[in-house]
Amino acid sequence: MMSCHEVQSLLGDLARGAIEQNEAARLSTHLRECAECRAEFELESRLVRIGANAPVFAPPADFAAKVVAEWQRVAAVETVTPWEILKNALSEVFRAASDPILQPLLLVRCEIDETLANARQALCEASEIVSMTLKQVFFGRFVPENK
Amino acid sequence: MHSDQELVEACCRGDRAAAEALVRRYQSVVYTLALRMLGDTQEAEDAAQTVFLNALRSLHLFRGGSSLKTWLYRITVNECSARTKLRKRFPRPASDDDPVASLPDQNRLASDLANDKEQETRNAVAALPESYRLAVILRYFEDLSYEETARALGISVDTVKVRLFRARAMLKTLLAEREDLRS
Repeated sequence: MMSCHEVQSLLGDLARGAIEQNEAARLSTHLRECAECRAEFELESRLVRIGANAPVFAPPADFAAKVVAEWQRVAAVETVTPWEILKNALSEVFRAASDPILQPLLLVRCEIDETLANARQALCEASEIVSMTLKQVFFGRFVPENK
Repeated sequence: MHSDQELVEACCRGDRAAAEALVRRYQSVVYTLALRMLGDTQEAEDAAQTVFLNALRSLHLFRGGSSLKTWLYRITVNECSARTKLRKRFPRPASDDDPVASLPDQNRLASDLANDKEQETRNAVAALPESYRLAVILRYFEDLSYEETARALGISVDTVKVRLFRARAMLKTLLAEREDLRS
């Protein structure tokens, strides 16, 4: 004779049909005679039935694509090493700090460049005049103004 | 069709197609459990997305000691439990547009289907305290074994058995009370 405790430990398997025939027959005999185990079996069977018939829900069609896109976006952010973050931050700080100093220097540099370009131009023009004068002297066409 | 292990390895190498295949394989499982725990489609979708993002980021830690499905159940249970706790601490204001309100109300359905014992049992399950409800959902609705339920909940098999025993006792009491109210 099976005890109620023994029977109740097997009711889940009985409700799922996962029990051998001999064992099932012994359980059935007990269930016919024991109201408490019968009530337990009824509830167990009902829960198994409800679970088996419970609907399975699906998320929206683009769910997987959205998840993977987000995964890749997060992964891209995470692949930046702490050293790179520090380097970028330091370069930003340096740029912000150096701009007020470098801007006037840049203007001075432009002025110098312009002056030098003007001087170069003046030198070119002067050398052209000298070369013209020399040509006239050598070919005898040069007549001093005061003569 | 790739095995779970092949998909996991490909995902660890950053393979986008493998990640999408993995999400597609388990999205219904995770989303359904999240919906059963949270009862709100939008929140269930958010939770499922977080579950998969956490899973994809931690796949290199997955050792294959349990099945991938059980591992995902574990992450889902943790995520949804955290959201439930947050919801209890910061309850949302009631609104006509609240999507929760638009879901089928278990109590309303019960009155409509007063003679339906299965519906009453479903309502009684929904009324169980969370730790017991979770054990029932995983064991009966998700059809997990005791061992899988234990892994998904992060508790021992004996604790699962105790919770299910108590849950059934509570269900019997709840169903008897409703029976008394009807008669």
